[in-house]
Amino acid sequence: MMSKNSQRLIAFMSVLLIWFVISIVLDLPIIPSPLKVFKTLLIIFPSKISIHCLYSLWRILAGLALSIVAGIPIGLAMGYFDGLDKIISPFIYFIYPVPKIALMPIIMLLFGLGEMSKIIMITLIVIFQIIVAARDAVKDIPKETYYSYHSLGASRKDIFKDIVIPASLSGILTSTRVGLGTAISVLFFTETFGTEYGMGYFIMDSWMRINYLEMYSGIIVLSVMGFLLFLAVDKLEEKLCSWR
Amino acid sequence: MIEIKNLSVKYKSNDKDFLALDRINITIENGDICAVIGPSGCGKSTLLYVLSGVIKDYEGSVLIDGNPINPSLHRIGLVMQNYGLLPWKSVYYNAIAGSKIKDGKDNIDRMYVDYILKKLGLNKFAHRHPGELSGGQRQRIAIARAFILKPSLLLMDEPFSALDEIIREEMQDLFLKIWFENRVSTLFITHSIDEALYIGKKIAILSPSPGRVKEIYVNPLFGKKDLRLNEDYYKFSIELRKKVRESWLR
Ligand SMILES: Nc1ncnc2c1ncn2[C@@H]1O[C@H](COP(=O)(O)OP(=O)(O)O)[C@@H](O)[C@H]1O
Ligand SMILES: [Mg+2]
Repeated sequence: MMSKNSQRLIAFMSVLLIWFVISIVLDLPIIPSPLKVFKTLLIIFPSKISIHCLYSLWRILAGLALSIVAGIPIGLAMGYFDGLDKIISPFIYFIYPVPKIALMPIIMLLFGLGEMSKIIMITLIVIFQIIVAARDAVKDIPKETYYSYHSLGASRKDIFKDIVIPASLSGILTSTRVGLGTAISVLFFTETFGTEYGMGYFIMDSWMRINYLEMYSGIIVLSVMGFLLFLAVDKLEEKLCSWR
Repeated sequence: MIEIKNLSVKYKSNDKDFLALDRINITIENGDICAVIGPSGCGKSTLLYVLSGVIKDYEGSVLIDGNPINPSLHRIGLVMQNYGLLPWKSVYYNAIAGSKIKDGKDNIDRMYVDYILKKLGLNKFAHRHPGELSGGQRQRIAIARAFILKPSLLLMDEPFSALDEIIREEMQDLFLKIWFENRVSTLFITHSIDEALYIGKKIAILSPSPGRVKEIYVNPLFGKKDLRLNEDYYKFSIELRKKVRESWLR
């Protein structure tokens, strides 16, 4: 058995190899060799890309944090209190399938072109996934799990702390990971408007300048950023849900 | 004293009600064990859920020392059929959970916790999770939690039914040993005649669904040493078997 990390490494190397072969076979400027791209990346990352990277990272983390801080309590409460679920669920089901990216013009009109509207955009999309996942995770807890605590006359605080939250944590983290992927796509889109910072801006700007080496460097940085965030959620799940 | 008077429980489903328990009367003196024996589906777990405050919708009355059952007031140790442990918490946390909720984190009798964990052979696993342990070990966590709570009423739902024969007998012995140190009023549910005879001072025989008390048998062997070797054991086992057969087949 190979470790997960060596499997990942092999997959990564294979993608590079395929890219390399295609770049040689096609020999087009739009598909430069990965070697050249990595060389460019190393040179321009500190001076040119890092500031964009930080902007993107901040927006993703802010959007994700807002979604988690607001979404988890709403989802948990909906899962636990049936009455609340009955009231809120219809709204969620109505709003959930609306392509929220289409709301971007409205958000920008309301909150301006700055950071606020970008973060709100990410939150708007990720928060529903987290609310629904948290709610479903709580609903999946077998009734019997509560019985011991009911027989102890446990307070609602104890029941949430010892049962509701730990039982649904894994489901919430999984949805966070899915939300992360969505958040990065949304981020890219929002960064093509009204800003001169962020990986989205950097990639589109390189493209306009027909600087494909820099454009590819940007794509790689954005991918690696996503990968590292994924990894961080993975590690968190491993640590918090070690009982599984 | 635990007094169950004319207790009836209905499960409400969409179209019609299902009568699970029909006018149950059982009295448990303080410091006694009452075994309840009945066939599968006769309402044994339902009875336990009423006594533990999980089911609140019932007819009749259930009094502990004259007061209606109230989980916030009374100390109820519940050992469920499927153990009712929290898989995401350590063995230790599971074991102290009852006492922690009742007394607060700072008022747990840690010496007693260590004593019980050791007695039940769980001290070595204290920092593992229940999912890593065997069924018998999980069973012991549930029992440890109930004892550590120092309950005024102990409720056990077929606690040993999932265990292998030999381990079951060992657990029954261990249980009785700890029980005699505390003598907490106990309702012990089982579907095994031998177990009822081994554990119960009184044995309530329930009919098939809807559960009714057919007979309350006072166990002459209760508290005898090395019960399984007692020459009368076989005699009373046959007598009880006959009574149970009469109640269940009909
Ligand atoms: N939540 C429920 N809703 C409806 N019927 C139930 C429910 N729980 C149990 N029952 C029914 O009540 C009867 C008694 O169940 P239970 O108390 O679990 O029996 P036992 O523990 O003696 O096997 C069974 O026929 C069972 O199908
Ligand atoms: Mg049962």
